[in-house]
Amino acid sequence: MRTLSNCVELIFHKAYAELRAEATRAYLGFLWWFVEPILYMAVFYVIFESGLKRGGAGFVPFLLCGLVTWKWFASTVAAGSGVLGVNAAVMQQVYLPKVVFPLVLVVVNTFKFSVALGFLLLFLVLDPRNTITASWLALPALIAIQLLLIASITILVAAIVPFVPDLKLLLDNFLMLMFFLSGIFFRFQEMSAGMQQVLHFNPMLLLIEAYRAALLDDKSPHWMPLLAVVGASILLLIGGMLMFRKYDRIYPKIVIR
Amino acid sequence: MERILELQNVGVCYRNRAGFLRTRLSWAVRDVSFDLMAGETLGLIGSNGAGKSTILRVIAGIIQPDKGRVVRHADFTASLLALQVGFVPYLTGRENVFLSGIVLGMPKREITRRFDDIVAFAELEEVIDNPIRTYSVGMKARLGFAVSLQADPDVLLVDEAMGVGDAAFREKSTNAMREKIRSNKTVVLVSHSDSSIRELCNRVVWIDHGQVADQGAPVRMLDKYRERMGVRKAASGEDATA
Repeated sequence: MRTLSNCVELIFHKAYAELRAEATRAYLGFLWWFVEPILYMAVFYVIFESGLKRGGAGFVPFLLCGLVTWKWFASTVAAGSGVLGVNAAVMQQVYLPKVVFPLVLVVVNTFKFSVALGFLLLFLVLDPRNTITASWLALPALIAIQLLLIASITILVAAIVPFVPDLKLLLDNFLMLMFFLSGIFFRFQEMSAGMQQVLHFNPMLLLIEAYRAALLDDKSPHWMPLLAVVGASILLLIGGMLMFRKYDRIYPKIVIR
Repeated sequence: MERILELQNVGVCYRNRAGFLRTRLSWAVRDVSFDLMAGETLGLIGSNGAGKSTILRVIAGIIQPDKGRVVRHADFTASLLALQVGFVPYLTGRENVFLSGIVLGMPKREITRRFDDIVAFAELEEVIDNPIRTYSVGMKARLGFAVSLQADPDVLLVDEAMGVGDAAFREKSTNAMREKIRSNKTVVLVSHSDSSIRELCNRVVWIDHGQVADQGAPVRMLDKYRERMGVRKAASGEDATA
């Protein structure tokens, strides 16, 4: 039987290997981890700050807070649906707990997010309209909550999709819908009351609002709804882990490369 | 000899999609029962698609049978001699040794300790820090074999992996394998080579269409198996000696 320490080594070594491999593939190498988020943010900066002249002062930081955190969530969850398929060859040759694969994905994307977040914070520090306030101290807690949310949904998606591959197509479109319903482009308060009721159930909207409160508005985030996100994430996480435990030795049979 | 593992009426089926919302079951293994004794080398013979590799996967604990039971009479680790498992082309030989070793279940410090032996066995000292996408097929195979040789399960499952790389290395790897098999290690060997089976195995189970056709002494099983194959080939009009 594999020890827990071997599993932890496995997760971090595979994550390192994936990041290294990604970096060596391109000419700019690991610089891409820094260049890519800058380009990503620059696109929106150019469009909204100098192009559309939309949203008024402070719109770009507002937008970037939403985009950077959304990207961490969406790219991880979307890749979760195919993560067992990518690793089909390994799991057919050697027994290992399959939940390792979505966890590697979470580690890899969390690393990339931390670089993007670093640039976002740097941008906010350099922007004369913003000041660092005590409310920034909420940031580690918000990141921890989002990490828990991402891990739980990614694990659950990775566990279910091999049984119903069609869900992958649904998921991609559902993520696009969520992209527009997570308050990345608009202020939650600008929505109709009815819509606000519905959107309260969107955990990413709650998180994005909380990041903005802490980083831009010098306010303490609303912790109660976030506590509900934590509770729901833990339930989903338990569900996903139970599925991985139950079907651990079934996945190598059904996963298609 | 002590019995350490028992397969009881094991069956494994795969679900294949057969049109809209329909699936068809296909049984790779239908009904297989045999025992594995501590320290023996058990051969599995049979034609392609008979279910030999699936049986190895069941013993390795990679897949769970859909019917029947696998009874473990002792606490042991069993794994396939898996070559190049988890190799990433863009990483160096050194990084791949660690990655593959950890995937195979070896603790990192153990790999560090045996690293020089692994590289020396693969004869890749000069290029170990180059990415393995620059290696030839033979060099990759050597490194893969050298790593998996170090993962030392209690029960070693070998699937036609005899001989890897170029001629010189093939002899070396075959010898290393045989040394392992001849030691007190418990081994299950799937092979299409009569000489390997005859030379290495204490006992042979003949698998045919997912069922045990017969089991017994290697020479007797091989004779029966070849005889049946000859009859089949003659009946289908092929050259029986091919």
